[in-house]
Amino acid sequence: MAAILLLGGLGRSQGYWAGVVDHGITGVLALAAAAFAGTVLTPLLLPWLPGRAFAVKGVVIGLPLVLGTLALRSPDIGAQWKSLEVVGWLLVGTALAAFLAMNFTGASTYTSLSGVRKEMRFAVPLQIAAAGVGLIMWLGSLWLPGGGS
Amino acid sequence: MTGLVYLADVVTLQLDQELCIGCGTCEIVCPHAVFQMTDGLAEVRDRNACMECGACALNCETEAITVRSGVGCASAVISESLGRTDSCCRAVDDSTTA
Repeated sequence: MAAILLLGGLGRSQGYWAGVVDHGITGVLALAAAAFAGTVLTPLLLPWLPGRAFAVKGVVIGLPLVLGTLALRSPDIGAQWKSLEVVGWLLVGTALAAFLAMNFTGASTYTSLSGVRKEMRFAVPLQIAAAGVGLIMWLGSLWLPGGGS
Repeated sequence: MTGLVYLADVVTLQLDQELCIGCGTCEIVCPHAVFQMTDGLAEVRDRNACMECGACALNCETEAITVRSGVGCASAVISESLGRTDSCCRAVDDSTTA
């Protein structure tokens, strides 16, 4: 998170520290919301979250929470570069929430090893892809018109 | 029983009724009530409730039950796929694998 905070200031025409406050904190808040969704809300709401796979439960709670956090943080979502940044963090945050939620399979009393293996076979590649694409989108938002401002 | 059910049709639990002598131990040791005794023989009542703990296979005198047991834990599966053999969290416990 500290790295994201510091990276947030790079290449911004508004100046490094203003970039950290604007873009860095946006990223940190998205990650914090994702961590909260995956590690606190998923186990707390486990029986009521839809989906059998824990990663699906993590997405169900993580996606709206990260989106809500980003919407509060970036009301001017209309600008093209801004939407790229928001969608990027939405992908990274949702992937993180799904991964953290998936780790609670070991703490539950009803998951089986074969089931966890099956869940991970489809969930882990998607999580890695979403996080990778999301980070690239966030970095890419720097080069779009207005992104460096 | 919590009523929570994980992914359907994935468990490796197998019961060979030909070998069953009807002792009823599997029904007693199973934490999720997967087995029930019907006409003096064990029967799989709720296959998807199985968490592959291996208690039934370990306690079955005639080895009528087999299951690839282990802990259903994502971090254990990650440790295993990364080849970490020194990790305390391992996906498969060989001692109860039947």
